[in-house]
Amino acid sequence: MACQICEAINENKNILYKDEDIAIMIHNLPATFGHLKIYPVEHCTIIEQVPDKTVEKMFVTANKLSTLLFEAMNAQGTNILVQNGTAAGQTENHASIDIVARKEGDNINLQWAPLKLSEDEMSTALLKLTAFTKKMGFEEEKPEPVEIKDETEILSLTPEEENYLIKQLDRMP
Amino acid sequence: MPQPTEEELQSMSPEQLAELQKKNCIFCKIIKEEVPSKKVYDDDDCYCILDINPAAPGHVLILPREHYQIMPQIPEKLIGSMFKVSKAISQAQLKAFQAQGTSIFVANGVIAGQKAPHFMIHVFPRTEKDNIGMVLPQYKLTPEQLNDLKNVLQPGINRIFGVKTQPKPEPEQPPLPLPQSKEEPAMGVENIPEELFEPQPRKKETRKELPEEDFTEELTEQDIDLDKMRELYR
Repeated sequence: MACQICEAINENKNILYKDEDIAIMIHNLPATFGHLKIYPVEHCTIIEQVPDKTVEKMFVTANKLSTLLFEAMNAQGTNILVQNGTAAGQTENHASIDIVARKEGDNINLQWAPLKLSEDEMSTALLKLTAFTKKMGFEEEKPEPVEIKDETEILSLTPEEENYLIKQLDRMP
Repeated sequence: MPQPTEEELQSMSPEQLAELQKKNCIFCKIIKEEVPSKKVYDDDDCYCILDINPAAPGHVLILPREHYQIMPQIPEKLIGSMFKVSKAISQAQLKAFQAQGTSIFVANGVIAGQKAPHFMIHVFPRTEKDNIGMVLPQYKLTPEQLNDLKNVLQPGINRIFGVKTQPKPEPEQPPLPLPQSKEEPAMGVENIPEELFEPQPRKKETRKELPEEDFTEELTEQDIDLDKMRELYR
């Protein structure tokens, strides 16, 4: 499948850092001067498909990059944003985290007008959501497979070998 | 709790102020369950509630149990754990509200939209026509600007990941000529005066010393009551 991000990661295009799990790029259409992107190297369309371990690594990195933007770009604030799905403003076919350096008067509005919900509406939302959060599970780290040596091997000796072992026994005092 | 006056506030040290802020933090009170809230999920690291000023029904705040004002203060492990939860909450929202997407949002600093002195992650469900906004403008960078940005950020990123930049390969220097003359020989074993060698103790002696030391140490540590022991053996 042709994914522009996968292509860019493979070709090392505009990549600031890359390892086996994540890749960091400067956004080619930035919101401010200092807008970074973190992608999982493995192709995932939305963040739900990204393995937990990579998600953790991506956000730990996002925090470090946010600090870097404060230091290197003299940002006065940063936003860490995941636009998950086109309804949330996702523009690429590859899951990502945006880290945006913010300054006073940068004309970016990431604030929402708070809804006035009644107590009933809040309780309904809670019920709907907890029905799923109760079942929430996390991917447990799989232990490395341990190689178990096949012990039956010892039993299946060729006659010569068997003789050899018996001879050894004879020799023992 | 009596609130400190303006003068008292000004005379406080930053540590005292931080302590006061922690005491007054509404989110800490929610986590301690002194203030009622609509809890969605909690574990050892975090506490998730419904936002009372939601962008959409089902808007969740993920709070660390410990009071942290800003994100750089938070240990890596906790960040990983909290965002792992944010992914799971996002998944739950997609199912619970038949949402078409979710936004996971963090604001660092007042200018970025941080309103509370307790770090939090916002996760809320999105639909195509929800009018929530949160759209990032898109500007074009000139190749020069891109290059400038790269030059500013690359050293920091290399430092974060411990990437060692490869220095330009230096021209190979001819091997140093070996000293040919034997008039000034380098310090070798044969040139060290014999007085410097101290006679080494025999192995037997060292072995004798060691267990004795260990033994006395053990005795003092365990504090054995000799009288009691004597009675036991009678």
